[in-house]
Amino acid sequence: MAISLSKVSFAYEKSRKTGPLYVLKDIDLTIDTEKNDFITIIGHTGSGKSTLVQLFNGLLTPSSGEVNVFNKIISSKKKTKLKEIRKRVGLVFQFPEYQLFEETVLKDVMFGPKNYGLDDIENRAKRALQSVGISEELFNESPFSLSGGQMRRVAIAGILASSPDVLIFDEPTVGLDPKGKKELLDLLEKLNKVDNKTIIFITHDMEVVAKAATRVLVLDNGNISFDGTKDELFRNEKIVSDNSLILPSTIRILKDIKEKLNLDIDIYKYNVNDAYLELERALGGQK
Amino acid sequence: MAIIEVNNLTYRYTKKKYALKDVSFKIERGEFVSIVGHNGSGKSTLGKLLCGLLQTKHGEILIDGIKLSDDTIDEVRQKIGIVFQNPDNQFVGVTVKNDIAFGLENRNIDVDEMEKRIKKYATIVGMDEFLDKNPENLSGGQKQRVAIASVLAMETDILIFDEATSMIDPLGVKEVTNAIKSLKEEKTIIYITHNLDETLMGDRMIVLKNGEIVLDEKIDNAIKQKDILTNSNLEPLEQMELIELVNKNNLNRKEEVEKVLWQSAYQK
Ligand SMILES: Nc1ncnc2c1ncn2[C@@H]1O[C@H](COP(=O)(O)OP(=O)(O)OP(=O)(O)O)[C@@H](O)[C@H]1O
Ligand SMILES: Nc1ncnc2c1ncn2[C@@H]1O[C@H](COP(=O)(O)OP(=O)(O)OP(=O)(O)O)[C@@H](O)[C@H]1O
Ligand SMILES: [Mg+2]
Ligand SMILES: [Mg+2]
Repeated sequence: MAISLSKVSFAYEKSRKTGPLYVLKDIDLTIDTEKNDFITIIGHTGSGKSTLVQLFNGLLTPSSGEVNVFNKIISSKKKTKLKEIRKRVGLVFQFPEYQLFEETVLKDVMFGPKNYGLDDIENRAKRALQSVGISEELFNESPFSLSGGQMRRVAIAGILASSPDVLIFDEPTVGLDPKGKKELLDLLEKLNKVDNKTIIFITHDMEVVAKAATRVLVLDNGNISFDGTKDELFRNEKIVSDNSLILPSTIRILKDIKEKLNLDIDIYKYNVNDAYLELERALGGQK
Repeated sequence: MAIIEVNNLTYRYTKKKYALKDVSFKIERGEFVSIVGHNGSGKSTLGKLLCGLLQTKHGEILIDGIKLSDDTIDEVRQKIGIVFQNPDNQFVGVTVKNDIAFGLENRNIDVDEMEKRIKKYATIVGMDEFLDKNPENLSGGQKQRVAIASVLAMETDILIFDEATSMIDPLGVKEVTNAIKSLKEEKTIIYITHNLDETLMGDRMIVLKNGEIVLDEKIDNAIKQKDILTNSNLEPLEQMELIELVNKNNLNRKEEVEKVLWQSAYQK
C-alpha cells in the first residue's frame, strides 16, 4: 500500500501574463506505507511543505499530475470519494484553530471517530486526550478558551482518536512546551514502531529530525531537493548549506569541539548521551 | 525609572483558576527579557495585560511611568506593541501592504512616511515581494513574518513577541531577530518562547509556573537552574547537560571542553 505522486504540480493562483503560479513543480514521490517510516519534511518558509501534505489526503487536488492514495486516484480530471481516504490518512493542520470548532474539548475530539462510524467514541476521545496531556478538568471547556499549547494538544488528539493508518502532522510541536514536545515524540515513535503507523511530520526543528526520522524530505521552492536518511543528509555539507538548514545541536556542538580542540571525533551523534560517549572516547577517558 | 513596572498583578478568566497570581517585576529601558513556562502558565495572559488587551483591578501596571487604566490606555498603546501567538488573530488588511498600513493610518502618519515604513519593515522580515498578497493566503512562516512587520512599523518603544517566530525556519529566526536587535532606536523587548536556545539572545529570563514567577534572573544564571527549568516543563540546553557529564566524570581536558561548550551555546 502506498501514497504516490506522479508528475504533480500545484498552483493556488494564476497570473494573467504568466499562467499558473506553481508552488509545487513536477513532483514524483512514493511513500510506501508497508515500510512504517517516520518521515520528516523540512525546508524554509514558503517552500511548499503544507501544500504538499494536503495533497496526500485530498484536501487539495493537483493542478496537473496524479495522486494515488491506497489505489484511489485524485486528479483534476477525476472525482474520488474522499471520506474513505481521510479515514485512513489523518492530518493535523499547522494552525490548530483551523481544526477546532465544537462547543467542548471532548466533543471536538469525538467528532472524527463519530464521522468515520467508529465504535466506543467517547472512550477513544478520552484516551486520545489523556495521551497528549489534557486532563479531565478541561474536557468540558470550550476549545477556544484554552492556551495556545493546550489547543495544539486537543487538535492532535482529534486525529489520534480516529487511529488512521497514516498520520500527518504539520509543525505539531510549535507551541508545545519542551516536556509536551518530548512526550508527543515518544508517543508518535510508539505509534510508529509498535502500531506500525506511518508518520509524516513537518518541522523546522532539527532535534525532531535527529531523534525520530527514518526518512527526510527537503523541500526547496516547490521541488524535493533531498530524499534520504538523516545520516545521508547531515553528512552532506553541500546539501545542508544549499538548503539553508542547520545541523542538530549535538552535531553542531561536537563539530565545534572537534575544530577548536583539534580532536578526532565522529560528530554525527544524535543525542546527548551518544555525544558524551564519543567525547569520552576521543579524549582518552577520565582523568 | 523602569519602563515597565508590574506590581502584584493577579488575573482570573473564571472563578475556578488563577491565570496569574501576584506577579511583580520591573523592566529597564533597552532590556531584552525572555518569558518561558509550561503550556497554560500565563505567558500570553501577561502579554495581553501589559498592553491593555485584558484588564484587572488586582494589581497595577505602569508603562513609562503611566499607570494603565481606561483613561490612559490610548496613550499606553502608543508605547507598546504585541505580536500575537496566532498571526491570524492579528490580520486586518486584505493585502500585506494594507495590513502593515492599518496601524499607521490609525496613528495619523502621513502617506510618505507610511510608504517608507511599509517598505522598510517588510524588507526586514523578508516579505517585501509579497506586499500585494492577501495575508490569509500565505504560508505559516510568512504569516508570522508579516505579523511582526505590522507591529514593528508602529515603532513603539516596547515590543512583545508571543511565540511570534515559532513557525519560521531557524536561519530565518536569526535573521529577523538580528534585524530587530539592530534597529537603531533602543527597543525594550519581551520575548515569549519555549525555546531556551532563543533566550540566549536576551539579557534576562522570567519563568512562569501556574501563574507565578518561579525564576527571574540574568540569563547566564538562569540557564544553569536545571531543577527550576525542568520543573516548569523546560529542557536544559544540550551544552549544559554535556558540561555536567564532563565534570561529573572528570574527563581529560574538561576545562577546555567546558569553555568551548559555553561558547557554542552563545554563538547561535
Ligand atoms: N491559500 C493560498 N493561496 C495562495 N497562495 C498560497 C496559499 N497558501 C500558500 N500559498 C503560497 O504557496 C507557497 C507555499 O506555501 P506552503 O504553505 O506550502 O509553505 P510551507 O513550506 O508550509 O511554509 P511554512 O514553513 O512557512 O509553513 C507560499 O509561497 C505561499 O505564499
Ligand atoms: N479566554 C480564556 N478563557 C478562559 N481561560 C483561559 C482563556 N485564555 C487562557 N485561559 C486559561 O488561562 C491559563 C493561562 O493561559 P495563557 O494563554 O496565558 O497560557 P500560556 O502560558 O500563554 O500558554 P501556552 O504556552 O500554551 O501559550 C490557562 O490555564 C488557560 O487555559
Ligand atoms: Mg506550512
Ligand atoms: Mg500563550
